[in-house]
Amino acid sequence: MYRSNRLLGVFTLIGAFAWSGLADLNAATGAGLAELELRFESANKELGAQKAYESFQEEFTAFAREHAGTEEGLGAELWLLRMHWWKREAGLMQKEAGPFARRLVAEYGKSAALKRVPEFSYLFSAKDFEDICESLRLATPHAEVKAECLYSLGKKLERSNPERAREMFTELTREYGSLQYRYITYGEIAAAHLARHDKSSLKVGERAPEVIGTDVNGEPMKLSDYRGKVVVLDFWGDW
Amino acid sequence: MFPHERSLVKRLANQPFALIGVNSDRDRDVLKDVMKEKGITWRSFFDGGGTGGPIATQWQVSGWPTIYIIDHEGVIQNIGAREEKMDEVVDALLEKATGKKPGPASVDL
Repeated sequence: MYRSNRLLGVFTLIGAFAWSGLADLNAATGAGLAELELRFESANKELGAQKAYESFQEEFTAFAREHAGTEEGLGAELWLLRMHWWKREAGLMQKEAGPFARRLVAEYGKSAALKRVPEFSYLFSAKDFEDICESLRLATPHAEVKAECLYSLGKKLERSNPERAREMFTELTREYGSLQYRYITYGEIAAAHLARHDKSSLKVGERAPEVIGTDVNGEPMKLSDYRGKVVVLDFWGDW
Repeated sequence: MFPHERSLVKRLANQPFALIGVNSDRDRDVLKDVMKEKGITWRSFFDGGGTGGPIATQWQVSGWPTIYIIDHEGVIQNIGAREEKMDEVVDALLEKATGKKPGPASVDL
């Protein structure tokens, strides 16, 4: 059973929920964003994400308005942006997420938290996303945000506009290659995008391309170490 | 799927065979615990901490699990075989490599 891209979107979204728990509790403003998100989390478990979203939308909107211009307010705005996923069945996801993100870039362009916007690339049309990333790159003073813009835009355009995607990954390597991306660097992930194996070289009867990396303990390993053996190469994850 | 893979690895322990994972989980420490808990003894590449890691990217993997079966000369011989079908393909390739059929049928542990 292969997961569709749609399910991958859900996976990304679950990751996003996990992150949201890290928001600081702002005691000075009474019931802070973290408390609101915790209440949403338990509703999420009880009702499912779509219903939980619908019942919390107004509260997050009010919170964002009340705390406009602060990091807490932006946190609520980013929650609202992420929840555009639940508008896709009504056909409103791309239509509304684009203008919403543009407003956030205009109002909060200097915040490091806007790194989340390019991470939500699946919410936007390619054209909107290109616009949003370009204006965010100009607005932000943070290298991490600029790098994430280049990376996410490169991925988004990889199929529709491979030339432009290459430009993004090349610039990412040149400008931000040594910045950390998860357990590796933006340079390493950009290099992989610039050297994707052609589908025709991954077919039955073709020599398997070399794989060089490290195991879960950080020890180096490569596929060719197992030459002479029959190998089952299993791309897996525990989710 | 892990029970099947565990029994495959055990049954073919003395054969020129290796099950190699490419793991796309987010957290390496959590993954180590999961592997211990589920008895995953075979080696995995840790692919950068997410589904968009460099190996999955280069191999254009967009669904999990994705399985390639590669013969002893390094040539891709099957894509996507699972469970009994995986056993059949692997056994046939081992016979081709060694000239004799590998041991008894798969047993559950």
